Amino acid sequence: MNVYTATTGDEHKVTLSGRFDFSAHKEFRQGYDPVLSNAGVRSLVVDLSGVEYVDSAALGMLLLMQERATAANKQVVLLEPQGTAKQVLEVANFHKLFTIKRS
Amino acid sequence: MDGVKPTIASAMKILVADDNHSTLALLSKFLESVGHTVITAVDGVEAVERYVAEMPDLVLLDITMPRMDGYEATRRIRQIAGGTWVPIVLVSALDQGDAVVHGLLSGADDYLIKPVDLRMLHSKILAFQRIVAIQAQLIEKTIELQRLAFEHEEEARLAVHVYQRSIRPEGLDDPRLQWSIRPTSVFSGDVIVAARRPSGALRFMLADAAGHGLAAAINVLPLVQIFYAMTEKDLPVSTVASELNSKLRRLMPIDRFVAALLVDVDFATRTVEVWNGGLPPVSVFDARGRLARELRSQHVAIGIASEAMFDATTERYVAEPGERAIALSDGFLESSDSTGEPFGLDRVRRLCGSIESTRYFDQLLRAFEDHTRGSPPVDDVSLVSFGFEPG
Repeated sequence: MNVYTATTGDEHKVTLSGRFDFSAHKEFRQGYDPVLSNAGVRSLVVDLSGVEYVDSAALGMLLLMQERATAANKQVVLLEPQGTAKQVLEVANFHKLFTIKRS
Repeated sequence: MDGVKPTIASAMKILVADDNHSTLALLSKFLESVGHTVITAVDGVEAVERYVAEMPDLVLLDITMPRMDGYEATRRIRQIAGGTWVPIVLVSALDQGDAVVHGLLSGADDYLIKPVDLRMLHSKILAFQRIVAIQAQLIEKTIELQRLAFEHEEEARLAVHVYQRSIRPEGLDDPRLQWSIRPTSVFSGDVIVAARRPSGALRFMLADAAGHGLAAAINVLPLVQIFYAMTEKDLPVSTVASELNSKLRRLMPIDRFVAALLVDVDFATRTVEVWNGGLPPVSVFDARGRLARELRSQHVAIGIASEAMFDATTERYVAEPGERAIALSDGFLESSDSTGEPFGLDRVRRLCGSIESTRYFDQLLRAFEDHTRGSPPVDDVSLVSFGFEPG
C-alpha cells in the first residue's frame, strides 16, 4: 500500500492507495504518529478514496488511530473508499464511529 | 614489518593457498606473527581438502594455481560452506578489472593484488572480523527470537485448547440448525455456538473475530462462556450482546473486535430476533426461494463501543411457514476462484432462488467448494442455516 502525507495549516492528510491490510500497519502508523504531538495540527484526514481493499486488520488500524488522535485532542475525518472497500465500512457501520465524507 | 601491530580482536584460523612457496611462507609468517593460526595449501585441490578438514575462519587464495585455480576453489568452498559465510579473499598478480570481476562473481569477497601489501591485508582481515562478529550476533538473536515465538505460541495454543473445550457440542447438534466452519488453520477466528433457552427457543451466535488464526481465536473464545451462562438464565439477546461488548472492551484493545450475529428462533411462534453487529446480511428466503427480507448489520462489532454508546437494539419479525434463513461470515462471500472473483452474496441468492430450500445448505457448500477449488483459503469461512416447516 502507498502512503502519502501532507500537512496544510492545521490539517494533516494521510492518503492511502491500494490494499489496506495488515502488511500496511507500520507505514500507516508512521503516516500519522509524528503529528500527534504537534499542537498546531487539529485534524487528521485519512483519504481512502484510492483504496480498493480493506480487511478487519485495516478497520482495527483506523480504530486505533482514532483512539490515539482523540487522546491527542485531534479530530478525525475519513474520505470514503470505493467499491467493495466502501461496502466493508458500511457493514462495519463505521459511519457511527467516524465522520466519513465523500472524496 | 613496519607499522603493523598485532592488534587483532581474536585469533582466526586462516587458510592460505598459493603455488609459490615464498609467497606462501611470507603470508603465513606474517599472519602467525599477528596471532592467527595458519593452514597452508599449494593448489586449489589441496585448498578445498584443507578447508573441509579444518573449517577455517578466513580463506586467502591465489588465482593461478595448478590442478585447480582460485576461481574454482572459491566456487567449491562456497558450496561446501552452504549457509555459513566464510570470507574468501583472492590474491593475484592479475591486475585487470576482468580478473577482479571474475573473482568476485565466483564468490570471493575481496581481492588483493601482488605483491601483497601486508598492512592492507591486515586491515581487511580486521574488517572481515567485524562482519563475522555481527553475523554471530545475528544468529544468536534469531535463535532466541525463535525460542520466544515458539513459547508464545505454545501458551496461546494452551489457552485456546482450554477455551475450545468450553464449546458445548450438544448445543450445536440441534436438529433445527445446520452449520459449517472452515477455518484457514487449526485455530478459527470464526466461532458458532448454540443453546436452547429454557423457553425452548433456539439461540445461536456466529462470531467473526478480527483477523484469523490463533490471534483471532483467542479473542472470541472467552465470549463463549457468557453466551451459555446468559442463555441458561433466559436473558434476552440484547442483554447478551451488551455483556459481550462490555467484556471484550475490558479484555482487549479496540482493534481486537469481534463481529457477531446473535439470533433467537422460536419455532413454535415463528418469531425471530436478531442482533447483527458487523456480519454480512442474513438472507431470508420464502417458500418459493424469493428473498423475503435481509437482516443487515445495524451495529458496530463487539468490543468497540463504550458501554454508554453500545446499541443493543434488536430486529424482530415473524416468519412465514417454509421460510429459510442463511447466515454467513464475510470469509464465505469474499473467497475467490482462481481468477480472483469473489463468491459474493448475489451468487448465494441466485443459487437459493433456484433450488428447494431443504437443499440450500448442502448446495451452498458444494458451490463454494467448486468455486474456490485451487485457490488457497485466506479467511475463516462459516455458513449457518435454519428454517421453518412449510404450512
